[in-house]
Amino acid sequence: MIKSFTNWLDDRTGYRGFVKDALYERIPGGAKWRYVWGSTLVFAFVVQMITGTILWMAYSPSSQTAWESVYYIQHEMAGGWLLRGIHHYMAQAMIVLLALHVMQVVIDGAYRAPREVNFWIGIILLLITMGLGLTGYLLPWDQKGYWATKVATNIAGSTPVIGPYLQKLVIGGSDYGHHTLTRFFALHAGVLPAALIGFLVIHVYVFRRHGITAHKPEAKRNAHFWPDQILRDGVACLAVLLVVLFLSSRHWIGAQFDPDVDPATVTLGADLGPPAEPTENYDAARPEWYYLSLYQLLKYVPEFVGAFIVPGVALGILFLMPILGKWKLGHRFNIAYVVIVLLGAGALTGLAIYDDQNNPSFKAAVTHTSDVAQRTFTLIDANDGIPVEGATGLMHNDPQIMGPRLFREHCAACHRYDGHDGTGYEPLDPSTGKPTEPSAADLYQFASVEWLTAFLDPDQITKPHMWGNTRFVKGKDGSGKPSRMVDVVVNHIAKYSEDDKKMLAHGIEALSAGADLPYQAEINKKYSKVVEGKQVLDRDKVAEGLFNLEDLSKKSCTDCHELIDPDPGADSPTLIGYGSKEWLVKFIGDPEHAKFYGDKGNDRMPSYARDGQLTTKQIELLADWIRGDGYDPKNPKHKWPWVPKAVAYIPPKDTTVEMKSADDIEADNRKAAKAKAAGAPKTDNGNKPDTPPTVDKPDTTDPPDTPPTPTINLAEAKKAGPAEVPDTIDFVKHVQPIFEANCVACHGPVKPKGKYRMDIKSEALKTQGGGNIVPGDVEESWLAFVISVPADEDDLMPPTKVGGPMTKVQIDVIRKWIEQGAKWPDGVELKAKKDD
Amino acid sequence: MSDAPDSPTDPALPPTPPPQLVNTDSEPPRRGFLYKALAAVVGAIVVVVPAAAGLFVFADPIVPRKKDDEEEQETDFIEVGPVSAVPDNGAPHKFVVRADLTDAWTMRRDVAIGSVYVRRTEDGSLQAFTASCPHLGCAVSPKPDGSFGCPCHDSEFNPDGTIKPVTSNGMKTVSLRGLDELDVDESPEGMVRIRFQKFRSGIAEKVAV
Repeated sequence: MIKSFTNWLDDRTGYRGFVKDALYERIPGGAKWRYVWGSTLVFAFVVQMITGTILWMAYSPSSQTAWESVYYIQHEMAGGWLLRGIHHYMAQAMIVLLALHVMQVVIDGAYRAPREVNFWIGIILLLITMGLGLTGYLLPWDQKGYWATKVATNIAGSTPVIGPYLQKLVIGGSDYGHHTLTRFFALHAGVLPAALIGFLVIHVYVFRRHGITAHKPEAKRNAHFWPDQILRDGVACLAVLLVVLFLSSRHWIGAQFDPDVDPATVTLGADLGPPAEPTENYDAARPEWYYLSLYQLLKYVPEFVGAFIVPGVALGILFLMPILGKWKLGHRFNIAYVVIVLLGAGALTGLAIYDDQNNPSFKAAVTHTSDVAQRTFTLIDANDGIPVEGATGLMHNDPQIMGPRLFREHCAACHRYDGHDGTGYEPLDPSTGKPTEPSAADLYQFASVEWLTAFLDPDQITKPHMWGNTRFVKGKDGSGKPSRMVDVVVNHIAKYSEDDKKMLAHGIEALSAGADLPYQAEINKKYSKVVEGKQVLDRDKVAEGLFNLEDLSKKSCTDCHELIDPDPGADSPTLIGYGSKEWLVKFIGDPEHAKFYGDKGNDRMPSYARDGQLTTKQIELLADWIRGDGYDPKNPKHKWPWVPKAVAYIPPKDTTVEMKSADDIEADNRKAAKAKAAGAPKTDNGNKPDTPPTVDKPDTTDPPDTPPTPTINLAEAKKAGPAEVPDTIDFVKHVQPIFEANCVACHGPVKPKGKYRMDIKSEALKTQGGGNIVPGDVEESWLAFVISVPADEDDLMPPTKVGGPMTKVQIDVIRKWIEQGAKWPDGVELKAKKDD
Repeated sequence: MSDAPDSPTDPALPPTPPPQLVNTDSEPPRRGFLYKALAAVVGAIVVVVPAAAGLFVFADPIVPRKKDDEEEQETDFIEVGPVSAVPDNGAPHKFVVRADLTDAWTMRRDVAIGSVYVRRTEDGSLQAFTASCPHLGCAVSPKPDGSFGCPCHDSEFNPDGTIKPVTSNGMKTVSLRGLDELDVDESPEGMVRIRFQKFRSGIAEKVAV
């Protein structure tokens, strides 16, 4: 029955003759392992056709969907990663097999007459295969493919005369976009495979016409293709397949033997980087490994030489081999040539890899992009899919992806994050090749207990990773005079008693707890209470802890900072809500705001929101990232869409917090920035938005119990005191008028600034908390110092905003009075001369 | 099976007669020529017409079109950020250029289309470079000393954009020209404005594309 059917079929098709020709090709000298390379190449190509066609069914070439569809193949479709893995590694296997095939052909002299034309066709097939690799690299539209292919198409664009037209034809316009992908895809899946099939058919046909080239006449019996050679070919193809399967799954296999690696996170099959972003630099843009030699060559020679002349000459000689082979030593030359080219390419490839392995920015970029890719996968997972605007839509709203980038672009010129620029790269000094020292604090785990402890450590605050290279340590314009904060840490905290140290540690903990940092779970828990089943920050506990910072025996924090209650007179950055998102957003937005450093205290930090350098949205992303906040799939409390903690501010008791909306702030900021740029005159408060960093609205109708900001009658203040410095200072006659006009308004009985009163002798001359007035010693007296500093110093007393500095005579009178023993008759009490 | 009735084996079938060839020799030579010419013309038409239609679409990116000319004239200054962001010490500041981007059939409003570095020169004026390396288009990055380096083929450029003849690796910079300067000015509102352009890479001359 079967026989009758096959007879019938053969009669109408003649297939038996075809099969006989195909299988019973005569192999002179018998089957050999050496002959397998051509067959493995055909096998590899067929695998590529099959896997490629299936990939085609799931791939969508456009700049909005290419990466997204590849992501879906890789992570969602059944067996998708394996299919991609086979396609990816089989392509590379083809290149290796091609090299072996060419070598075998050249060594056997199979390019000689009458096989010249078939040799040339073989070279065309090699070029088509290289073209398939090049076009396929772009299709996933990830950072790697995007930037590497950009170089390739720019090379095309630099071709003399036709370059610009060629480039536009290849990328489908003057810029990368949809048509770059559609054209590359058409080339990769249509034009090149069709050409390859066409030339392959001719190649095999001509090969059969001439038969196998016997290397040398062999005594062994001739054999047929089937089954002797086919068995060998089959075994070779199986070996190729096994290698490809191993490469595809090697990370997964490795994870089975390494308990530290989670098999769920390893790359299965082919790697997929983060989506292409034209404005996101990629320092690890490299072509596929078999192009690395050409890539490396371009580092040494001009682009035209490296991309056209060298490869052109190399190919030209390959083409000429059949003719060169006729020369007496031609065959040896050809063999030597192939070996030299392969060795040269191998050496260049090795150099390229060596360079990259010793290039910190390359390594950082590889790690960083891999992290970004993993994070993007996490976000897609959380979102149950990719939004219609593409994966970048998710990425651009994620603090963990955007924070490092913003930090690198805007902060890392001065700051560091755990020693690097946010993306894992330590900026190197080009002249020494060593990491450059930061010129502002390292913000890794900013406001954490650990960070604050290091900051308040006399040994660390003057180091580069804290304030070592800021003007707070080096002094304004390098004067060497440290700021009050540094002075306190270095000169006072260093001498703390054990009790003080304990209080400081307790205070630091409370301050840090107030920041409500997501990674300090234990401390947050310690300072929390449970309300309606939810753990919330217990403000009473925090305030209780913060009192420690107020009650330190020397130099209380509240001398300069507001800590628990708003203090309009505090002239250093507010510590209310320190490290919270709101605090950070406002600080980054405008460190020169009166609630922070003011105009004078700020070092070099730009006012990012006020100047319009960053949008509120960007600052929020940055703040969330610095705080270590962000959607965490392992946290059962995190829900999607994830909303970061808006406020962790601790208001005074019985008050609620009202925040301006981000849009309002941004509008204000823009207005202010424009006004500033237009040269509007500066008012007392600058023209910054006059919202304090925290807007407190008392719950009750009663006004808050804060005194109005004291003011000084300027005319009175300047006139106070004697007209010249007398030889002997009399307190009541000479000093008292100056103090009353200039100092007591703030340093009086009601809420004295810095808790320092100058209206009564016992308080003014007390030595506890540092000697403000040390009788007989001007140098040791803080008062003598602060009244004498230049007007642009932030330590100046009285501050410029209340009319400081005093006149030269006034200053000299006070200094002389201290020098002469700071005599203050008992019972003399001072009263502030007020404005009205 | 109808055309192979009852025959158990194929050899039993009568051999197929060879096809009867038309004896063209007997035709008049002029008619033969006419047929050949006609076949060539018909063949050419059926091949060339669809191929030409395809060629037009294929060549579309290099076919000049009216809209492009208009857009070219419209290449205008784009605000990229506040002047205050540019440091006084001559260090470059990176701005992302945002504009509407036509990508074939998609119109994207206000998206990042490229990045530029803006710095102050010694005389205090602004200088702007495109971040695209003039060698082969990778994105250059600034170094702590204000110079620029390309991550791909290690070209290095001085802070003023000129080529550093010898790179920090002791190699020769392969780029044939310095960083491409862009027209820059300051708006009355204190914003940096850039005329954002792209240039042909890999050649010594600066040619806008």
